[in-house]
Amino acid sequence: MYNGHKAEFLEELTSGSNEDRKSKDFISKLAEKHGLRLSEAENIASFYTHSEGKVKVCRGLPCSLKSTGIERELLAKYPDEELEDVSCLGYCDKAPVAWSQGKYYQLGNGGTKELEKQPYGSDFREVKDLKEFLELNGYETLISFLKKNNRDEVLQMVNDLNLRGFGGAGFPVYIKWKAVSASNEQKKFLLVNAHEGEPGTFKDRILMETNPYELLEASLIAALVVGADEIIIALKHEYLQAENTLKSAFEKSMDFFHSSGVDTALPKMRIMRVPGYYITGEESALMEAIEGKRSEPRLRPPYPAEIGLFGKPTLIDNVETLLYFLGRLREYSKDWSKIPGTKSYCLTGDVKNPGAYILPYGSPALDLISKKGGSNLSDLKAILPGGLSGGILTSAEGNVKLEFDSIKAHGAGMGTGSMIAISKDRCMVDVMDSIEEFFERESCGKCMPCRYGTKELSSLFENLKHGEATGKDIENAKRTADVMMKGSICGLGQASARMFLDSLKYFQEELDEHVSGKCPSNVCFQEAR
Amino acid sequence: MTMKIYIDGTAFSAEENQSIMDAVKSTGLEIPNLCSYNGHDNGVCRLCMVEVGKPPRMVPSCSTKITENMEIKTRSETLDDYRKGLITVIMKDHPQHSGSDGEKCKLETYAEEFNVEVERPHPAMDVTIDSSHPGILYDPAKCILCRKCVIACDFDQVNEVISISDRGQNSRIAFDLDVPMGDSKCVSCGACVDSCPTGALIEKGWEPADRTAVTICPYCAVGCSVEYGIKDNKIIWARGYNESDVNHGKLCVKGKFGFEFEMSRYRLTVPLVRKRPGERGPLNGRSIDEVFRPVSWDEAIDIMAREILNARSVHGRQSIGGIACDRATNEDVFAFQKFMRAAVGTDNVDQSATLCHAPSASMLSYATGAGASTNSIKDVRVARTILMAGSNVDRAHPVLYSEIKKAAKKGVNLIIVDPRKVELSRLANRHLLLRPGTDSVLFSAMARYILDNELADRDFISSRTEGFDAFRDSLAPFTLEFASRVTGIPENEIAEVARTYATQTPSVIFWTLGITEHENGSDNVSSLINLALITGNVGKPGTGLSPIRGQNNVQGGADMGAVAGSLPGYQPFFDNGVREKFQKSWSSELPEFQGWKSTEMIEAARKGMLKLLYITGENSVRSHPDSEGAVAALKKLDFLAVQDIFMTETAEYADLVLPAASSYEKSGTFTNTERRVQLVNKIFDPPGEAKPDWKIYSELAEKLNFDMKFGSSSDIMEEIASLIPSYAGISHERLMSKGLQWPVKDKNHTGTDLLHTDSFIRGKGRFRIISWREKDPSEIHTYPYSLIIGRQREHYHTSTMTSRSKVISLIEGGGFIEMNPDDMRKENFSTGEEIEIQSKTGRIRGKVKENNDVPSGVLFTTFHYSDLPTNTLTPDTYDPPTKTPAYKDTRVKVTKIR
Repeated sequence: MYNGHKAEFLEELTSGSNEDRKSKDFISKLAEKHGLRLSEAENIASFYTHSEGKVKVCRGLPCSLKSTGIERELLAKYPDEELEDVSCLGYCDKAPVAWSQGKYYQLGNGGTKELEKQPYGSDFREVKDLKEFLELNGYETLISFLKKNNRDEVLQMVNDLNLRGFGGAGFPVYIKWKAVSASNEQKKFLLVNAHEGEPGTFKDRILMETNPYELLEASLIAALVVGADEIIIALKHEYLQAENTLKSAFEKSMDFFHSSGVDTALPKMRIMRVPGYYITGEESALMEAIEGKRSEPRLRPPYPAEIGLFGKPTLIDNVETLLYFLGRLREYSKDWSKIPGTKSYCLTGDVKNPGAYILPYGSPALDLISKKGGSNLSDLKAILPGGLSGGILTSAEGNVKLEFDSIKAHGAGMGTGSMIAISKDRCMVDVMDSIEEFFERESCGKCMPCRYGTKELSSLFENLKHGEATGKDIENAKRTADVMMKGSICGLGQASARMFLDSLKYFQEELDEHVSGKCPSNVCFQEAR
Repeated sequence: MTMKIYIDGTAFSAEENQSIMDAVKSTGLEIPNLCSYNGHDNGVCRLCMVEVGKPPRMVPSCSTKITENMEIKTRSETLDDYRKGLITVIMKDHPQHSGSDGEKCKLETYAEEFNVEVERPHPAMDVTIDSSHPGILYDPAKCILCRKCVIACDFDQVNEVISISDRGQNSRIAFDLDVPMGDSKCVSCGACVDSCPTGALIEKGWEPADRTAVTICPYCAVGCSVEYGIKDNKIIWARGYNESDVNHGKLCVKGKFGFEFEMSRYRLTVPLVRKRPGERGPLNGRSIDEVFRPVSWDEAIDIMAREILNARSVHGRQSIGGIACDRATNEDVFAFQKFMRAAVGTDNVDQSATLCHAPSASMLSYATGAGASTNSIKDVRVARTILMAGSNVDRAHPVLYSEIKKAAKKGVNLIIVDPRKVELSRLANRHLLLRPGTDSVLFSAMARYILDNELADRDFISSRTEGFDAFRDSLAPFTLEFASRVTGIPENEIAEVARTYATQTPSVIFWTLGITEHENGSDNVSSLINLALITGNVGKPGTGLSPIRGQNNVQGGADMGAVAGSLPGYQPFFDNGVREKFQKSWSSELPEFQGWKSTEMIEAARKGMLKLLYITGENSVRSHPDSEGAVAALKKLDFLAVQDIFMTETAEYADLVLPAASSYEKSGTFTNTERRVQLVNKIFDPPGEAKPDWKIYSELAEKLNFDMKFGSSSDIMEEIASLIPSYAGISHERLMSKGLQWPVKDKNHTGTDLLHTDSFIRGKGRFRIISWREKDPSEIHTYPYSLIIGRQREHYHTSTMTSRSKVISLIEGGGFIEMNPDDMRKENFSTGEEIEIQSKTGRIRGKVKENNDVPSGVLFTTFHYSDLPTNTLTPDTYDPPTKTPAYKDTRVKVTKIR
């Protein structure tokens, strides 16, 4: 079969230097080496700008809210071509941040500060080594599962649990698990989606860095349940520390498995960072990236459970989903249904104590904002309950419970459970401008509703900010948003439209005032004064 | 299986497993779309949404399959709003076309249909139009990134030049590593242009046509259907015709850009007579008027008839010969041989197969009873193994090449046998780079290996073949060791390929002139046929023996009996029943002698035995071997008549030049490489006084007091059907757009895509024993290089037609002698330098060019260019049974010009 080696090509390409990336000669030689046509090489190489030499500056909403405008100055020593705006680096509680060669930097008024070993917050217990993990009864569930091999029973538990994915879409987990385990194909994958990308979301990174063993155990059991013989933990390209932590934990664990005599019964495990963008967190776009192709969403059907990674049935679950599953499996012998689980939530934006926190699943938003975040609801104008994908709620809805159905009942979405708080001093047009610019930048460009739609919405807010938009422009944008909701291939276009429609729902007056040249918060039109 | 579906409330029955879009299309309704590409998933425009079910749910119709009792709404207020909204937002970013090219823009058409107001004038886009390609413009501002060109280039044609570059809002179309189109590896097939819905990729100077017309491409025997745009009675553009079962909308550069010859001012428009008879020679810079005198058709016919009568009475019928044109229609060729045999009374008739695939036709006929490909092009899709032997299909048959590339990408075992690296090598499991001319040894050794290792199909051999024991015994010398020594291919590779061919079945063999144009061409072909017979790789889907024919109607030319000693339909010339049938039909006596093949006619002319030669549409001076010898032969004739559409180098030698109609100017049929008889549709009247060939033959016959009884080309097909059993069911009315594959036994038979299913046409499959003779080592010593004469993709034969196309001439305007870099260093040559090549037959000068694909000891060139007349070098060495010249292996030496 003629196919070329795209994954190898991409791996070698992204580990090359900036200089190499710019050289057509280098790319054409690399293409020849991996059996690719020049057009295929161009197609892939031009999509990924990643190289280890770049300095990435975060432009995600939590960072842009905290921006003091001096970030570029702080990075002035780097030539322009080494600087790259990216949409979320996953350190939103330390906003504004930049990333270079595997290290994170906070770009504050005090200058550039390297963010070394992180205090993860008191809610997260750091498991330092395997010994500690074993003392906490780690791997006991795995060993016991290997003994019992009670796949059907565990599947039934997943079904009874009504577990929904924490990756953002809230898809019922059982449906995917059932489909993959029912497939008779020899080769099946478990793909652990650790390509965290929703602005305001960094809990998966913390979960992996604080207790890598837990994810390994959860993944191994999940793979065994569905009959996957290979696990790929796919991390965001910047998550170098999480990669190292997981890899070293895996090495140590393998020794343990070997000495326990269970190593041969376990699936293969690959821990890798995958270059990509916001869209890469979308599961089919993630598979494309792992295969070395452009990280663009696939058309569905077929679903990954039928034709997934490298054409094989693939179970894809988010990090936290698997951890939640393991947590519930451990409780299995007890009357688990009465014990509410806990969930990790992120809180960023205009709050006193941004960070990641563990709360009982379904706690009211107020608990997160005030008990953990140390802020008053009354100081807020809006809360975004699910990063940029979950729509907008006003501070009047602070009693909403942080779980899928309750947030949905309020007309928004929980997404990854990452809340961004917007202060009452802010101008919604300004905030929306940043949000829609994000979607415009992150649209992969594949489908027309999203490529053209995000551009229109972004320029609407840009124009509103400068007093150049008319009421008709807003009306037109509404029609475009409707097209995006109905026609986009993946959730990105829908999320962009939803944010716009929600901003109209709650803040139309503010938008209209901008049409007539007024910014009630005195944020916009500043240059004109 | 069919399903019941409801489209806008009406029940239809539709094939299962198809998309909503296709199901709706089959009812004659097109769902609005901008990115749909037949047979490929795309799904990016999202315009094709429809509503299904209750309550209605919007789904993309292109990627959603129909289900039983599905209720589909293609129109509703919601859908109208959605479509209008989507077109509006796209149009916001789309520059309005200026002038007539707006007609090319499907987006603008929809904008009108959905009443989209375009609100603001567009700011001028900061993009540069790429005009680097000779025939195609790329205007990025008009591009909506529907990705159809990417599918066309990468997945349909598998040329893999176009891709999407960059991402998101910055996405754009790129060629190769984002170089200008003209600098890329683009092969100018035009598929991207044909697929583009907005005219972002468009032919330079494109205009809307007054009308369109569909006919068969005038070039190779793949037989693509082409849709031509016509304005002011001129072809202004060409695109692949989607309804064709042969090319499914695809073309190559010749089909796309090679039509200009029709309107060329150099077309012959009046009959011409040489002013000074006897001074036969090239124009040498003189104008046609200086050398020739225009005459009326009456006078021309008079002269020709007088010369025929004269030669016949003085020298006898054997002294007259004619060569038929294989770019003419079946009807023309049938009329030609009827004229020669019945009106003139000679069997000296031939066509150009003698210069190309005669060994294939002849040996297939010997083995199976039918001198034609056993299978169809579509068998490529079901084969598990494809063996490509001596076939530069990339250059010679690009549209068929796409099918093979597609199969290779899907994982078929692809084996290439060729002395040169070819483009297809990159997709092959194995490329056996054998020494030129050693093919029969390789295939015989494969046969022996297959038999020795019990990999043969014993049941097939015993039930379907004859002569096996003698054949098996004849293989004794062909050990792997022997074959490896002769061919230069390692033993294990021969064994591996033999095993694959025999066991990874069905296996199909394709071959072209690299097999036939050798002094042992027939043995080469037979060694391939023998392989298929021992493995049972014939008579089943995905198997087969498929010579890929050259000229558009070379298969038909032989079918029509323009072959000495073979009456139409390969009916034996000396069979009394057959002769009686023809004599009765034609009310004439057939000649009593078997005539000469075309190469023999040239030879006979040189020896003074042939006195009058009637060449139709063959540029013999450039295409026959030993050009100087051919010229000498033509000069020796008493009378040479040449019928053509141009004043070719051969016509320049004629006493009488007759202007013919091109295939655009007449109706009739061509038979393609898979025996598919397809309708040729007249688009224009011929220029000036030019006439269709069959009319000229009829008028000549009349002057010779013979009534051909043809009032039209469809009359001729009626006679063909009445005399050739395999064409019995064919009539022009039945052919329409798809054609029929012969044999078509009667008016109800739908044709035959697969021959020899239960038994061979001749009964049993017949092995043929071959032998091997080493080349004379002293010749190799004197002439150390083997010269292979082949093709470029852009040009066709002696370029009489392709050189008239501006675009083609800009893409490929000159010939080179290609040489391995090591040999270049050894000879101290540099690229672009003029060198001399000499064979024992002649010498020429030409520019040399470095090419890694040519192995050391081999040279490659073409015969496309008049300033590189390579057949001057080809010796008059022939394959004994068929008299086919050995164009593919001429021993030469090279010298530096000081």
